[in-house]
Amino acid sequence: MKGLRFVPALMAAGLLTGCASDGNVSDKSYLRAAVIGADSVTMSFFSEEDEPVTVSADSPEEARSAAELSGGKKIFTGYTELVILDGCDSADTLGFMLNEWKVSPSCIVACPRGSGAELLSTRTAEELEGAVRVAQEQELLGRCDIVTVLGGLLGRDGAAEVPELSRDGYVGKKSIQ
Amino acid sequence: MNRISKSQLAALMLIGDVFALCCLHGRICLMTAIGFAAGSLIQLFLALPLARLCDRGKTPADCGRAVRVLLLVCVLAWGGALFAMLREASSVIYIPYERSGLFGRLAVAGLVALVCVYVSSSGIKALARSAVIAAGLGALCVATVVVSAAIQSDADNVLRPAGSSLWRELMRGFAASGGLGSFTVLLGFIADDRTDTAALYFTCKAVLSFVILFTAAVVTGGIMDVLEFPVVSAAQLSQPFPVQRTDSLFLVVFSVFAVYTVAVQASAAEYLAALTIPRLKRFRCTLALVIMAALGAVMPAPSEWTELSAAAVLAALLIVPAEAMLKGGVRRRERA
Repeated sequence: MKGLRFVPALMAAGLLTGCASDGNVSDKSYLRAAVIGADSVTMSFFSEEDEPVTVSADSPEEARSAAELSGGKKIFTGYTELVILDGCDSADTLGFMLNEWKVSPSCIVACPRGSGAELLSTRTAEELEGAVRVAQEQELLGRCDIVTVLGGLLGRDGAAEVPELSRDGYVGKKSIQ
Repeated sequence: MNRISKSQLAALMLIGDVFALCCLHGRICLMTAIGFAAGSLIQLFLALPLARLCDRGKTPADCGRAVRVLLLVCVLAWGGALFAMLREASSVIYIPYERSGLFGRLAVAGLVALVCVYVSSSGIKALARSAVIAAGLGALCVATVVVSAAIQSDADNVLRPAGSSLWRELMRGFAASGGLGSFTVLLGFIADDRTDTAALYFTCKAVLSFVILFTAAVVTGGIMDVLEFPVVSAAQLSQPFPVQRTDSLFLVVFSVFAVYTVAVQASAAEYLAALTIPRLKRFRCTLALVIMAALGAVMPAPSEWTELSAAAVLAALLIVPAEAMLKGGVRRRERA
């Protein structure tokens, strides 16, 4: 009878192992960078097997669902490194990214010079992030992570400075509101 | 009778306090940190008569039935509030099954209750011993988040005005201290000096509350408007490890603290039920957990009934000394 005491613990341990959860790494696409426009979203991924995809959507969550249907894999957004704001509501979009997509707090926020979708198709996310980090090292740019930028947008001034990117890499700073 | 040391009691209670801070809803600022710390020191002052009474041999077991019933109600109500806080905070912590609607939420609450039954069945001494280890791990996590926040965050965030007063934050601090009902009960289990125990616990609580809330304000001050649970978000965003959030690690710590916090209330309720309802001989702990879970399903979190929760905390701290004072007054009149 004393052995019955261990039954709840074993059951709880079995339930908490996560064996019945979300599947294999290869079953998912891991989002690396996203361009959020007013009515479309472009996504690029870590794996070279996953091609960048552009979908029409009114919100990032709709875009994610559409991209998952298009690519046939679930999209994991927790490792997103770069978000490019291209005409969307900046504060709402970044708040959504932080709370719902649970992106990394060090995720860089930038804006494009020209079309954001074209930018992500001509330069890789790695090159664009690298350009931002070099600009920061050369003290041409301050902090532009999602927490800092969103804090600026929600602050008294309602504005924040983000890097401006083009196919030539980092081309300057821009104030967004 | 099970005896526990003052550090074990402090560990048990501080785990519950940290859990309540994690589930704190709404904006926080420097004034919140000051208010909670000051509130803890006021609670120490209010707890001294209780501690002195316990040192003289009077514990809740020696109190009248009305006092024990009131304490039992406070403990059960706070247990329900804990389940309510767990239900609300679960929305911002990634729990795999939580997103599965009603089944997910019931599964989370059910798992916590099941583990609490197991943990509480070994008695308060075993619970207290293991709490020291859990509290140590929790302290390590808090220290990691604090150091990470100090290195990476913007200290100007703490100076952002949040439109709050010291009185309001004192009330919030009292409302988040519902575990003091079980403190009143567990003080009778202490083998050491009870006054020293109270001083140790409340001092540690004041320091810990200030550090956690100050850190949360520094990390999330700029984005507080879009966050529901700033302490949880601060732990997730402080990023001691590069690239990734610490959601998974935080979930483990949060779950362990949830279990300990509820188990303490269940153990205190079981003890009071044994004194108050002697006919109820079996399944006292399970019944207490069922009542708490049922209350948690229907009641709002304490942030929505701050004044009532603060009043209940005051009652739990002062009821035993008040009863002793009344009885002493009656006896003096009778002798006269």
